[in-house]
This record gives sequence, structure tokens and C-alpha cells, in this order.
Amino acid sequence: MLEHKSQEILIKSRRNIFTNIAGGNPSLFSGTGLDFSELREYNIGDDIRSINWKVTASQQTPYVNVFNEERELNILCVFVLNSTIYFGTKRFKQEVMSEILSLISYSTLKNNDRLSTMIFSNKEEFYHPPTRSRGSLNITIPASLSLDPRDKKCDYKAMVEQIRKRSKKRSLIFIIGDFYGEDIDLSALARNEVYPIIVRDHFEQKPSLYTEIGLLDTYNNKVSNVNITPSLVLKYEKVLQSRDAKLHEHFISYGMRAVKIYTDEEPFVKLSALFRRQ
Amino acid sequence: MAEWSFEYPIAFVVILLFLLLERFAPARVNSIVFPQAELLKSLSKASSNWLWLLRLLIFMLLAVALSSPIKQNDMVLESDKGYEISLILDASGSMEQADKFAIVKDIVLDFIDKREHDKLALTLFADFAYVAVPLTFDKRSIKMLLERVDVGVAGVQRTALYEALFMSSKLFKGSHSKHKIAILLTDGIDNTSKVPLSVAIDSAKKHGITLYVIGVGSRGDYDARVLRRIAKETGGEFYEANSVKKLEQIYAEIDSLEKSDIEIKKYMQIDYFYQYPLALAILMLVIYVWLRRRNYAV
Repeated sequence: MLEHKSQEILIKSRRNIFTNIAGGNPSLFSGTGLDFSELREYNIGDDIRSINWKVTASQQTPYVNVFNEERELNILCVFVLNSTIYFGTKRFKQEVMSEILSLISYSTLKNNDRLSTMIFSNKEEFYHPPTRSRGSLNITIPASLSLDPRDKKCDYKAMVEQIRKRSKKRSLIFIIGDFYGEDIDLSALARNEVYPIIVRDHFEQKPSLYTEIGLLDTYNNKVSNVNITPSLVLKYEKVLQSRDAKLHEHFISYGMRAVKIYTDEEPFVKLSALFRRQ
Repeated sequence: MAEWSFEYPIAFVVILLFLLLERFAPARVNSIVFPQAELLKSLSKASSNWLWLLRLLIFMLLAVALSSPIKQNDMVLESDKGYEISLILDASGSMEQADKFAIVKDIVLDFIDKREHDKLALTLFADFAYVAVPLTFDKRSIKMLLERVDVGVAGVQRTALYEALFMSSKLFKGSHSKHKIAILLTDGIDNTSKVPLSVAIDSAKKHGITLYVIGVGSRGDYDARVLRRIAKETGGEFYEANSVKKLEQIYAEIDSLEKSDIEIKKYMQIDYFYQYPLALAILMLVIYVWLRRRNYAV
């Protein structure tokens, strides 16, 4: 399928991670907010930004939050295999998803965090247990590119179950997929920090190809002739938008910050923007 | 009278063919892989159903147009091609004897049926003569009228034979027909003398009418000499009928003598109506194309 892309993606990601993120902030998602360990009294020289104001106010002496010096982040990347990722006008959605996976993986491994990778359709297609080895990338990225998504249909409920099983400890979870579906419920993962990464193509959201055309659904291999008209596209966009709005609301309500990446965009730019905001 | 029918009902096979092709040979279009094909398909269902219905309707109308709906009318002949026959009947009191008038009526009705391509007129006479029905193709009304008339409609005393002849001749005024015939049936002698015999004959000759004269009853009842003269001068025949059978034979003979050859040039009036469904189909086709095209970028 797309195996030949794996080297290209790996090199590109490495270059991005190593050249664009220079200095003392080498990771996409390094920094504060995650691995809180204890409170202690303020000493001269402490970063005043880490003062815990609530506790300071109640104790009447300054306290600071202390984070794990050697934090060991557990990061789980979930690659959602669904028939709909077999599509793309500029680049294949699957390819872009692999690139995202590789960017996150590189970043994680460079930071010496523990990375596990899961590819899931209606069952677990592939799992790489937690590792710090960069060599694992040569397994996970080709795996994500070589699996044929055409006859797969993602079962989100089973996926959530499987993630819960795999991540006993609190983790950072990246779910990379196109999130088409009406019953996506990630609420069971709320105790982790979840980042849904939605990969879409502009054309699939606005198929402005006004003609009669056969549309091949790769899942059941059925061609349906559809006469695409502007009014139909408008209706279709509306349905998609309302579904996406519902999905977005769901993510917001569980404190999950989603990002939408289109196939004609640079995943690195979008991801950096997402993590800088932390 | 008018009958609706289709000239080529086989053309309705077109509808069946259309349905078969729609089912088994869908339009071949280019295909692309599309993730949300099902959703897009389900959304387009309503409008594509309308288009399909419109398409079906167009084909149905075209099939109807192709099968050529027609309205068949009775034969209508151009007036100068067929015969024009004036029937002149004696309705005087004497015709009542031996049920003569009823018998004559039956035979004449039969005769009218036989002359289906000709124009007919009916003149009755007794005390005076009157034209019951002028020359017409409308056999039905002549028959209806003849069935209802009886002896005495024009009086019972006298026999206005010459006047009837004269008036009947005048019916042909302005006629273009080549074959003008009058069949005069009487059982009496003219005794009104409103119109002299010579005038009556002259008017018949002037219009080119061939007169067949039939005397009914026994020899003395009618003036055979006068009747023969009338027939002779107009180029017709004089018959004497003293029995029902004889009378029937006479009418049959006249019928065969003046057999119209119109039947060969049978003229059927057919009104075609295919243009209406065709026009409607074309209109709908334009609408269909417009519906399909209006959305596309040129």
C-alpha cells in the first residue's frame, strides 16, 4: 500500500522535530501541567509561576507545585483504521495520519517518554508495547502504512474498551482518525489526557464535483450513482457540520482538545500550534 | 360514432424497455472512491427520485405519441363523389290500404341502409308535398323520421305527385354531384294540379336527375302512361309493383343499377393526436434537461 512512504515520513518527521524545535524545549509537549507530584514551601529561586495560589492563600505562606523532575509520561498513540481513510485528494488520509503518528512518536521518544502504539479497526490490528527505543518507529510506521483499511470499519466502543485495557496508568492518549461516525463516545477515557486528532480532506467535506458520478464505497465495494448538485452538496455539508459540532461538543465536555488536520496541511505546524497552547 | 384507438399499440413496449434498461443497464459514469458515499447517496435520494419519475413520464408520453392515438370518424365523403338520392314517397290515404305504407317503409329503410356512402333526402306527398329531410349523410335522422311518419302527415285526400317531383328536384339546386337520382313511389294519380307535369319534368331534367318511378298497387291505381313518361324523359326506369316481393326486387335493382364505386376509394377520416403527447414530452424533456443542467458549472 503505502509502505514506500514510511522512510520519507520518518525522515521528514525527524527533520521537523530536530530542527524546528531547538533549545531547551525540545519536545512538542514538554512543560507544565502534567506530572504533578507534591506541594512544598516556596524557596528563593523558585519559579513564581509555579506558586499554588489557592494553597498559599489558605496557609498564609507561599507554596509551589512540584512536578516530577524525571517525569515518565506514558503516551499511547491510537491509529484508527477505517475504510474512509482510504481517500485523499492531495495526499492520502492514511499517509497524513502516519505522518502525525511519526511526529508524535519521534517527539515522545526524543523526550525519553514511554510510547506505545495501537492500530485499531473493529479489533486490535497491531500493538506495540511501551518502549523508549527509537527503533520501534521502523515497526510502527510501516505497520500503520501497510494495513489496508478498505474493508475495515472502526468500532469506537470496542476501541475505547481496548484502550482502557492497555493504559492502566494515567496516560496521554492521541487518537488519530477521521472520526466519521455518529456514536463516538470517548467519555470512558476522560481520566487520561486525550487528544483526538481529526484528519480530513477538503474534498470529502465539500464534494463540489457537479456531475453525475459513481461513488465507490470501499467498505462494501458498492458503487452508487449520485447526481451531485450544489444543493445536494449544501445539504451534505450541513449534515457533516452538525455531526462534527456534536462531536466537538462531546470533546469539549470531557476536556479533550481536538485538532482537525486537513490532508493539504502540514501536520507538524498544526501539532506544534496545539501543544504550544498548553 | 368517433372511436379512439392506437395505430401502433406495439409502441408501448418502449415503456417496458425503458424500465428494463433502467434496472439492468444503469448509465455508465466514471466512479471515484468516496468515504461518505452512503450518506451522499441517501441525501440525494429524494431529488433523484423526482428526476426518475420525470424521466419515466417522458418515456410514457413518447410511447403514447409513438403509438399514435387516433380518432376514427365515420366515412365522410366529398359531396361530388357520391350519389345523391332523393326518396319521394306517397303518403296519401290510399297508401294505408293493405298496409302498403308500412311495407314501403320497411323496404325503403332497408334501401337506406344499403346506400351507406350516399347522400339521401326524403320527400313526402299527399295533399301537398313537403321535404322531410333535405340531402344529407345523416342516415340516422332520415331513418328516425321515416320510422315515425305515417299516412296522413300531409293530408289524406289528394296526391300532389307533380309538386313533390318539383320540390324534390329543387333539392338538387347547387349540387355538384354527378349522380343525382330520385326514386318516386306512388299509388295514385296527381289530382292537385298545383304544378303542371311538364314543369315538374323540366325541373328534374334541368338538374340532371335520373328518375326511377315505381307504381304500386294494381294497374288502374296509377297512371302508368304518365309515370313511364316521367321515367323516360329523365333517363330512368318505370317499374310496376303489385306485390311486396316485386317491390323489394325493384329497390334491389335500383340499388344494383346505381351502384356507387365509392367503396373502392374508401375515405376514412382519421384525426391524429400524437402531437399533443409529443409536445408535452418535449416540454418535459426541456424541463428535465434544465433541472439536470442548471446546477452545473458551464
